[in-house]
Amino acid sequence: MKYWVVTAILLFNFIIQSTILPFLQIVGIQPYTLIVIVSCFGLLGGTGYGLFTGLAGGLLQDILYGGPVGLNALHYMIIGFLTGLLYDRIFTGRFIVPTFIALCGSLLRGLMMMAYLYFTRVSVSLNNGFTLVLLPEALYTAIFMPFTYYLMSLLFQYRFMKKKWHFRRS
Amino acid sequence: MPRLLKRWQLVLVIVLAIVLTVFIVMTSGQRESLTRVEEIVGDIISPVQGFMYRIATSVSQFFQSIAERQQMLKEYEVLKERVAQLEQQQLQMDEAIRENQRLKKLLDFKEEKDNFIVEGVRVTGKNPGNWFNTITIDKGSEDGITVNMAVINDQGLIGRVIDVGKNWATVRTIIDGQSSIAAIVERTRDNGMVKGNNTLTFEDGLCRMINLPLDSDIVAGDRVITSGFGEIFPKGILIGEITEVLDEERDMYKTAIVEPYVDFLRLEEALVIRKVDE
Repeated sequence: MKYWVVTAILLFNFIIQSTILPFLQIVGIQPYTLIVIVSCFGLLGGTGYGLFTGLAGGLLQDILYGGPVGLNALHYMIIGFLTGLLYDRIFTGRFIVPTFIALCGSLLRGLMMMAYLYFTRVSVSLNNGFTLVLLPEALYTAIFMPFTYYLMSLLFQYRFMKKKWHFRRS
Repeated sequence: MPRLLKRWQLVLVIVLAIVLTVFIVMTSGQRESLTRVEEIVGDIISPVQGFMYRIATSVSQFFQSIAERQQMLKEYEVLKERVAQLEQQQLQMDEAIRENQRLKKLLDFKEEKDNFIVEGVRVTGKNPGNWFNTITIDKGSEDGITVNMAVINDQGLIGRVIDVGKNWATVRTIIDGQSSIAAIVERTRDNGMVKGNNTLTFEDGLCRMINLPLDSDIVAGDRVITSGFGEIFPKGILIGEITEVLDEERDMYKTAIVEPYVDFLRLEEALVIRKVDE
């Protein structure tokens, strides 16, 4: 059951991100809701959830958007895994900590993207990239966290969602 | 146990990261052809992608149409305002052209009647009702207007001044029931009086010419002009055209119905005859 739910959420997010969010651009910046979704999965479900939803959601974008395959998958997988490490370790509260985590996740993704651009010899000014893209993108993305986190925490009250991904020995 | 678990996780993440990095390196930049894996994934994903693209496009188009509609509404409002402005300008221009034509006619008429010393006036008011028997003009005693001066336009006789203020005057038109003008039929030279239409029982903008001789051979279409008797109206000003001759045997005089040349429903400018040079 939870696989279907996760797949549905990722597909729904993909559709929203590629259709509605371009219309919500502010000064050319649009939010990346997959970061919000993956962070929620990591915080509410742990490393397994974060890692696999990040990987799957990123791969979906890589394949369907075009471009180098694995780039988004790597980024989102790392974000999902790192947020999953916080699962049961910190008190997340209702909104403030998750929003801050989404902000950090978005900044991390931006930095990884800039690193990729650096290695592929695309010249990007770190200062401009940070102030004009990274920071506004992270702030805009983080705005979506409280509402999404609230809905996801409701979802995680169902028992089928609590079932761990199969990392541990059965 | 948790340590083992963590190690496994870390190993998995590292392995996946390496695999993905390899993929990234392989698929970055320009490539001659896709890898076999990509081809297979593409073949599987392509229909799904098409389906999702269609959904995405329709959702996009839906939102785009809303945005476009808003834009069109804004543009529509701007254009509507512009059209209203242009219509207003057009109206003013048309009005200026018409006024110009009317004034030119009046000027031509004035030049034609060079023995008249006239004062150009504007009609500022008409008494209420469909047919206007008295009118108000925008000049009065300060401009030399006095009672009983004749008021005309290029079409013919309008009436005479009956009241004068400092900068206004009232004119009784020839269709007013109390109006009475000494007139002559241009062709037959028969004299008579043109009176307003009170006795016609309803107001239809016509006049009666009374006191015409019984042997007069006036017919419909004859023109009626002022005779100059009574010294209020100068001789030879057009009044109207006979439309019907009422020949009743018991009367000692003939009566004719006269349709004035002046369009009393559309009076805007006029000339007041201040003096006639003999």
